[in-house]
Parts: sequence; structure tokens; C-alpha cells
Amino acid sequence: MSIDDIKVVFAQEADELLVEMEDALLALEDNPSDKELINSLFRAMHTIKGAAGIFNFIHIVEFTHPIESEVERLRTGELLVTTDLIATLLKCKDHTVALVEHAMNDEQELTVELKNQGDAILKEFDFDDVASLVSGQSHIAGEDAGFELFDESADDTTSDSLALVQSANPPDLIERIAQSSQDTLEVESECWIISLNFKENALRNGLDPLSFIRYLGKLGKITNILTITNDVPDLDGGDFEGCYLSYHIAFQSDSSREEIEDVFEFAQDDCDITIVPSRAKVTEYMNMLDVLTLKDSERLGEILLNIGAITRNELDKALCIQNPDGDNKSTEAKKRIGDILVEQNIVGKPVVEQAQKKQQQVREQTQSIRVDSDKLGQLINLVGELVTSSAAMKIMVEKHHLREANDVVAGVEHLVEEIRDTALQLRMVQIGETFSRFRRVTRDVSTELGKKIKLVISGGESELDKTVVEKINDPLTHLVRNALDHGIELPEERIANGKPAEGTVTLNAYHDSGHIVIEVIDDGAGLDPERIRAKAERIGLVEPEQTLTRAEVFRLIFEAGLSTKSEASNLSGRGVGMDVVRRNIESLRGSIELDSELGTGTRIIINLPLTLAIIEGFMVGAGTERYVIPLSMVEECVEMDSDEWTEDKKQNFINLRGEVMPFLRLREFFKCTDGATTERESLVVVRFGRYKAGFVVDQLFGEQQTVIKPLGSIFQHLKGVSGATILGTGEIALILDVQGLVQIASAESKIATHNSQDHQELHNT
Amino acid sequence: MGLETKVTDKTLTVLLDDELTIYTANLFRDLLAEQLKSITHIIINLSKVTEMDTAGFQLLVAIKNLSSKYEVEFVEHSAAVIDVLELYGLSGDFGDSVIVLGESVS
Amino acid sequence: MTKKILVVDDSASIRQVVSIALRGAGYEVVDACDGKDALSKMTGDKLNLIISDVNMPNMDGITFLKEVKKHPRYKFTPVIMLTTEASQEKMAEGRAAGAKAWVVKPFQPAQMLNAVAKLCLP
Repeated sequence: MSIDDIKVVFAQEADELLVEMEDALLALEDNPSDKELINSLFRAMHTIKGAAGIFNFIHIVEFTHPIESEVERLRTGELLVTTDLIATLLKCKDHTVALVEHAMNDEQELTVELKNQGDAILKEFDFDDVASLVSGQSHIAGEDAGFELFDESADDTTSDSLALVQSANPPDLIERIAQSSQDTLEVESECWIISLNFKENALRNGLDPLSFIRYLGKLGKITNILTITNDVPDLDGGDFEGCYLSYHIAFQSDSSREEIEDVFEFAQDDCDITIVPSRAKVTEYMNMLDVLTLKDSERLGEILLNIGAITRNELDKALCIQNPDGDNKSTEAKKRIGDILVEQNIVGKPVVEQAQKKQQQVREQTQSIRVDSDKLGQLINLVGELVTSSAAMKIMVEKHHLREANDVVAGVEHLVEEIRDTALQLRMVQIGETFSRFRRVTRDVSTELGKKIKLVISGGESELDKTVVEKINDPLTHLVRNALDHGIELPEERIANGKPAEGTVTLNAYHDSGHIVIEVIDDGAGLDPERIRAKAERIGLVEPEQTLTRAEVFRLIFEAGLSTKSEASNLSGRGVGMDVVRRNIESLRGSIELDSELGTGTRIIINLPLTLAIIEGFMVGAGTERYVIPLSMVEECVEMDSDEWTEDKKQNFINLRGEVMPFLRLREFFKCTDGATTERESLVVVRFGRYKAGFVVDQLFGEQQTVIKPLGSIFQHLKGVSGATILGTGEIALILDVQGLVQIASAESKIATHNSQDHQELHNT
Repeated sequence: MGLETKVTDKTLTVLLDDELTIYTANLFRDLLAEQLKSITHIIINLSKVTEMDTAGFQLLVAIKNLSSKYEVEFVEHSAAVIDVLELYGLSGDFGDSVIVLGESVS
Repeated sequence: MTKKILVVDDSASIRQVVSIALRGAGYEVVDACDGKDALSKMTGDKLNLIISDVNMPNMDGITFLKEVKKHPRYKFTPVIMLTTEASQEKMAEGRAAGAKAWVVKPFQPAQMLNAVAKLCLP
């Protein structure tokens, strides 16, 4: 290892620091007051200056010194980050790169060009304290720059200990190490550098550095030692019982940091000890970090301790610096432990950074683990089973009056609920990704149709069940394309109407009482209710004399066969109409609404349950059994004795306020013969798409959150039931498959329910 | 007490004949300081130093630092002195031909 | 020159174990059973190290330590204090009196020798 090799190490280090500096500068453009960024600027300049001093690279020292001072003013807040300053500092960075390169070429004199460049850059700073800077420069430009620096920092124990790091290796020592190891190759990389700075009372306390250094010799080979005697007092009047020495020791050993620290165990109070690991050790730490398996949330200090990069003692000291008062309440932002350890020169920055990176990796891994969604589905099913079992257990306990088990049951119940919620949460994903896909669609459509369209996305962080997200994609695509194709007008048309040439399509999502609301909004042409109505009448959806509210008119959009544009563009949905969109959404137990203002735009609001595992249910009773109907499909409930409806037993239909519909008496359909029939039957009107049907039930229990537990495959042919749920009482209620039941009811009744035209005809006869 | 001094022709010759340690360093300092008048040359004979510690070493450093005013010479280092100087990596700085570079460091 | 160590402990067995270990490592050992006894044996001969127990009759270790720190011939001698289960109070008191090196009982002879070697190699 020659001095040249060590210089190469300097060049590498400088290079890394300068890259860091550039990154920090660029980041500062966005966050001009970020203290951490400013600190890393300072570190870069400070460290390069210090290291350059050791190698007598005077030009680098001279150039970086004023920059460091300037950045220091940023740190203290005396100076503020401005775009100009960032630009200047970027130039400083580039120039330092050039200077380092120059220094590597072993040329003593700076080229005129480089010198002028540097001077010009430094002039860009608005120095108002030129005088002090000039004196500072002449001070460090002395022949023994390295030593000068060293003395400075040795005197001032409170000074930034980073200065000590660099100056701890004065040129003399480096030369010596280099020389001594020239014959034995690679020796240097195995050397620890141990710096000892004994306090004045050490000798009086019976602690002689000689003893420790002798003992150190037992653990390895002291390949070189530099004894600093500058502070020894004059013979006349000096007190030689005091200790005035410090040492830098190049130490070759396989010992761990802990073992080396242990040598100086008794001297702790009377000596400042700095142990800089050998390069071999640093490599070892790095390798250990690489293969280390971290526990979640392991702290940085512990990681470094585990790999032996620091000792327990050093960690405790660093924690003490971090939290000097010993209270954890202090609201002040604390220094990070890694920074303290680096500043205290306990561990090298690369090691800390590697450890932080590792920590980050682990955190990221914890943030997202890829899991097969089938497995999650399985888990959710199992949780469903667990809910059932827990309910069953509760019933058992109550039935047998096992009062002493009550607490346990309550505990289990509570846990099961939490597990259920957590399990459902696992499958939640943000809708943002789905939204983002439409950026490309928007761009393509804009180009193809010659429109200017901007897509605005908000609420992308709203979460909903992955299974819902997957199923919403198609309907959403259709709606967005509709907005792009038919909603937004051509630019010239928009300008003519006094609108900005660029149209906006907004995708918005938000949570609303257990549901997620997705909005597709465009500021396009809007829909004309008159035209919709006309078309609906033409295809026989509406009778001319029927009065419809505005909302009802817009609802017609979702009926089959209705399209406001006479010819569909080749981009709009592959022959899929809005009726399909509506059916898709309703199959997810959701709903869709549309509102539009002619000339202003259209807003489509989709309301979806957050998960397919939980629905808002409406519970009814038939016989002794209970059934849940998805609330979104319930139109209305009418009491039995009401004169608003009559039952046509012969043809099996119900006439409600003149509207006929097929019906099912649940008690009969599910054959719940036990239990007294109530005289007060009710009619629940359900709607699936545009099909309506009535369920006659014995009791109405009202709305309730229902966890859907899918039925096992053995029940898959069971008609009219889509799942089951466990009630608070532990009873099981079946969830009705409304679509299936409506079909069954229609088949049983003598009326055809394929479209309302038939209704009408039948009604009129 | 082991400190013999002799002044001949403005040359002070000192023979330290005792341990050179924290217990004696300040004492030697005082005895030496008394002799520093009207001389130009100091010769420190270390042949009889039976033991030296860091305090004693510091005294040697202080004596060496007198070389701006006097001609200072250390002669006949004892084994105890050489041992410390070598351990501190300074054997060349307190020059004497007796010094043998060896493995005594470790 | 052989290094000389004074071992002070009221337990004869500990004195013996320590002495044997130290002699085996090449030190010269003087022992004493308490602080008073120890002071009486510090008669001017060079001591390189003192090892002292804290809890002793007649004169306890802390008082002895304070005496040592006042003794013109021995005040700079390194001292290792022996303490049981690291009793914090005694340790604080000892630190205040200038004790820098501590070895907690029970200890293995090798541990003791290591501690001794840090302050003076044989």
C-alpha cells in the first residue's frame, strides 16, 4: 500500500461526497429549508476540506474552505437557500471535481484556467466577511496544513469532531503507515487506527498510557504509533504529574472492536478513545450487513452493535448525546443515532448508510409482501368459519349456563371480530392504480379524436377490496371512454361555447359510510333530458303521458337500447351499453347515478360496498328463519294490511298500486313450516336491474351490516341463496340471491317480465 | 536521591540515578532548573534510569524542548528508557547510538 | 524488574487464589487482610499495583483507597477495587475517591489477570 493508493481512496471518497452534494442541491430546489439536506452539503465540503488538508492538497482546501463557511451560514439560518445559491453551489461542486482530478495528477501548481474558474465561482457568493475568509485561507494554507488543522481541533474539544477524524491522520502518520507497510502488502487495509487523547489527571489516577499500549500489543501488532507531544509543558514550571500526550496507533489485529475497546476499559474516564476500523473490518461489516437478517423494526444502533461495528458502550454514549436529559418527552427533533455515531467518529459513514439502507429495505418489505390473493380469500373464508364457530360456542355457553366461561367467550368474540376486520383489511387496495391506467387512455383518445383532454385524479388513496377493484375496471373504462368520446367536445366547439379549449375529465374517489363513492365527471356537452325522453318513448321505454322527474329521465340512460349519439365512434365500448355497466355495478351490490347539465357537463356517481365480504343487508323473517336481502336491491316495504297491494293467487302476481309483479312467499319457498304464521305479513319489493319482484315475509327486522360467508361447494346448486351470515344472536341467516329469486318468481307467475311493455299490456288487460 | 550534576566549560552533565517516574519527575525538574544558569550545553546521561513511566518521558520531552536555547544531548540510554521510547515510536528523536531497533514494541 | 502487587482482602481464600494466580503470571505479591494491615506493609518499597476489596473490617477499601491517595510514596499507584455484585453506591463512593478499575466478584483468575495486565504487564 503506497501513498498513491491512499490518495486514490481520497479521490473515491471525495467523489462520493460530491455526488451526494449534487443530490442534496437538487433536492433543495424543492425543499429549500430541509435541514438534513443542508447538513449533507456541509458534510461534503467539510470532509473534503479536512481530508485534502491531510494530503496537502492546498488548492482543494483553499477552494472548499469558503464554501464550507457559506454552507455553515445556511445551517445557522443566517443565509437562505435561493435558486442562485444552488446554481453557484452546483458550480462549486463541479469545480471541486476538477480540483480533485488535478490533485490526482500530482501537479503542484494549479493551471491558470482552473484558478480563474475557481476565483470566479467564489466571487458569486455575496461575501460580506471577506477579511475573515482571507485570513482563514492564509491560516490553513500554511505548509503544515494537516497539522494546523489537527491542533485547531485538538484544542477545541467542543469543535465538530469530524474535523478530528480527518486531522487524526496527519500526513506524517499516513506516510509512515504507507512506508511501514510497503514491504508487507495489504497490511494497511488490516490496520485499525486507534486514537487516544489522555486527560490531564490520567497519570495521577494511576493510569499510564504505557500500560495500555503494552497490553494492546498482546492483542495484535502495533505497526506504527505517533505520539503527539506538542502539549507537554516547558521544563520551567511544568507539572509532570499531569498527562499531556495523545497517540495515533496503527494496529494490526483480528480482534473485534469490543475487544479493542476493552483494553482501555479502565481509562474510559481519563481518555478520549477513537477506534477507526481497518478497511478489512469495514468490508467485513458491509458483508455482514449484506447477509444479516433483520427483525422488523430493529433499531440502527442495535444493528451496528450486532455486527460489531460499535460497542454497547459507544451506543450508550451516543444515546446519551441524543437524549441528554434522559427524558423521552422532549419535542425537539432529535439527531439520528447514525449521524451521532458518524460525528463521534465511532463508525464510518458508509457503514451507517449501508445499515440504514438495510433497515429501509426491511421496512419496505414489511410494507408490502406479495401474497397470492387466493390465499387471502382462503384466509377470509376461514375467518368466516371462525366467526361461525365463535358464535356457536357462545350459544353453547349460554345454553348450558356456563357463566364462568362468559369472560372467555367475550374475549374470543372480541378477538375474532378484530381478526375479521384485519383480514378484510388485508385485501384492501388503493384505487389509485386503477385510475392511473386511464391516463394513457385519455392521451390516446385525445390524439385520435383531435381533442384536448386533461385527466384529473383525486382520492386515489381510497381503499377498497381487491375483488371489487378488479370488477370495477370494465364498467369504469366504459364510463371514462364515454366521457372522452361523447362528453368532451372538440376544441373549436368548446371555444365557441365559451369554454376552455382543454376539456377535463375527473376521476374522484372517497369513502362514505362503509361505501366507496367513485365519480366520473366531465365538463363536456352534457345530456339533453328531452332527447333522452324522446328516444325512450320511441323505443317504448316510457309512455308519452308518463310524468318523470329529472332524475328518472337520467336513469333511463341505463336502460337497454338507449344511446344519445346516433352513431357510436369506433372507440366507445365494444357494443356494450350503459345497461351493462349498471348491471355490472349492481352485481357488485353497488349503485350508479347520473346527473347532467346540458352544456356544462356530466357527473356519474358510483356507490360501491368497500368489500364483497360485507354488505349492508336488510333482514327479514319467514317462519323461524331469518334472511338477508342486500339493501341496495330493496325498493320498498309495504305492510300486509295495507290496501295498496293485492295478491292474485290464480296467476301468482301482486298488484301494487296498479303495478303488477311476480312474487314469492319466502315461508313457502324455503318451506319453513314450523313457527306460527303471523297475520301481519309484509311485502318487500326488490329490484334487480329493471326487473322487480315482491317477497312476502312474516317479519321485518331492518338494516344491518352483514358479513357474507360464502356457502360451501356442497350448496352451490342451492337456488335463491348466495351466502350466509352469522347474526349477533349466533343464529345463521341466509343471504338471498335476488337475481335468482326474481327469475324463479317470474317463471312461476303467469306473467312475462322481460320488459315493462309486457307489464303494461298485462296490466291493461 | 539520584541526580548528579557536574558543570564543566558551560556544559551541564546530568546523571539521573533513580527511577524516572511520576514520583520523581517534578523533583528532577526543580533540581535541573536550578542548574540552567550560565551554561550552553546539556548532556543527560540515562544509563542509570532503572525505570521510566510516561511522566518521566514527558520530562525528557520538556528537556529536549530546551534545544532552542541549549545544545541538548541524551546519552547512554538504559534499557528502561529505550523500552519506553520505542513503544512511543520516538526512539530516533532522543538520539543515541546505543538504540537498537528491535521487536520490543510488541 | 519484577512487578510488585499488594493484594488486600479479608478473605484468606480469595487472597490465596489471587496471589497464586499473580505469582504464576510472574508478579511478586504482598498480601494484607484489611486496610490497616495493608498500610502497615507499605513501607517504601515500590508497588506497581494495589488490588483491594471494598468490604473489610478495621479499615474498609474506600477508606484505604483515600489513604493511599494521600500517601506520598504510593499516591499514583494504580488500584483495582474488588466489589461484589457491583453495588452501585459503593462504586460511586469509590469513583469519587479516585478508583478507576473495578473487578466484580466472583471472578475467574484469568479475568483478574487480564485486568491486572491492562494496568501493568508482568
